Amino acid sequence: MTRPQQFNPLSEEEQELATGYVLGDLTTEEVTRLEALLTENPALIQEIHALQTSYALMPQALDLVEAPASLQEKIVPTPAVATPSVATAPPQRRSRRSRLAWILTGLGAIATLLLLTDNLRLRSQLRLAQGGSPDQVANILRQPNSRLISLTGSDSDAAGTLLFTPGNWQEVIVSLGDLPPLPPDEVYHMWLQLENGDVIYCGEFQTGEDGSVFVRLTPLESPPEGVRATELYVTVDADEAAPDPTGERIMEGVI
Amino acid sequence: MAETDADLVQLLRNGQTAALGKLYDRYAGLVYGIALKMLTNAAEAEDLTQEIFLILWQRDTYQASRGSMGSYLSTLTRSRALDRLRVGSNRQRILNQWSDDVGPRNTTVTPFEQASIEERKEYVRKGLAELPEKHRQVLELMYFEGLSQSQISQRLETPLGTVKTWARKGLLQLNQNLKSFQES
Repeated sequence: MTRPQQFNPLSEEEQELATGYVLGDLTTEEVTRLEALLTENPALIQEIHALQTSYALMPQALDLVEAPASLQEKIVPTPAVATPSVATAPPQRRSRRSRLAWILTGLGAIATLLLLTDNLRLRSQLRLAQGGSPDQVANILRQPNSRLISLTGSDSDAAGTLLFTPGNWQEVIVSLGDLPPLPPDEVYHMWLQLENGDVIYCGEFQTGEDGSVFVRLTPLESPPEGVRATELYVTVDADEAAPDPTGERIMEGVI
Repeated sequence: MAETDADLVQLLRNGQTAALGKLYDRYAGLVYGIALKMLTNAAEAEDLTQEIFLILWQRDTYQASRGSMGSYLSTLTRSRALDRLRVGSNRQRILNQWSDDVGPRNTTVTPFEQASIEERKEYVRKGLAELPEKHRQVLELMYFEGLSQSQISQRLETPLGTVKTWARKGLLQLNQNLKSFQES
């Protein structure tokens, strides 16, 4: 193999394989060959990154298209809907607030989250919430103070939201995606952590084959008066076992 | 002095949601433009644009050291658009183009990456315009429609080997063109 080009430390074969890798058209034999070359020539890695960058730049040649003004209103938060954080809320007001108001304190711009997630897909998915009629979901969405709490995977790309109406913790809608699908004998459990150390069990669910779930949960307990909720989290247990709030956390959401 | 994209992302992480508005102002045209070109439907393009900015905010996976915000959003938009077009098999590979899948990346962001959107558009346009027409066509069919080289071979009634050669040569030359713009 020769490296004839002074300005490029890669052989023609290396360039071919790097390009094929980025375009995804390598044969099995070519992949094996590329893997061997990668260990010999670190410059090949940088070449692949450069090719990936160039390929990813292609759409930037497109004419910019002005998005409809109505779209900006749906996506971009307006100051009017941003809610104060815990740090800015006067302490003396806390006792006058409803208990569930504190589930929301610190989340910030909750109404904005609702606006942001107010897209066709989420709405259509929410309408399909398992165990919840379209009317029940619509009722929550229609509440002017409906709130969303975001949850993300502890060690995965899982993400989603919990939708509820303050003052009515007895009914919540959970919309999650990219969770690891479970075997039939295991289920996910959702928990609400309170600041006093207590944990409220919210319910169980399974995902579809694609790792997503849209489910209505009906927790039997609500946070006691004056006790603030601090986070939501999801664990996994055997279907037959008693739910264990100390199990490994699969998803979490700070309140 | 204007805030950089990295500054705005940091503000967003700190809960200053106004930063999302500034990022939207900078990149909505790019994201919506890609979505519209690929999905060819205004309502779907709007929906995807919302989804992309939601991901930018809530999933927080952008890393400035790995490339420009424009490249990140372009790759993400393309991946999600192809997902909607049910070209799912390519999705992981496409996402890998952003993730670090072959080894440590040189974390130096190039001046090209830091150029304005308008400057980059001009560079990339020139870089593509200098490619032979067939090379450019194959790259665009792969990129924007998610077609495999076999599908392109059938559409263009051209042998698969030829399509493969056009694609590889096209990308190599595009890369060299963009490098030369950076150095000029």
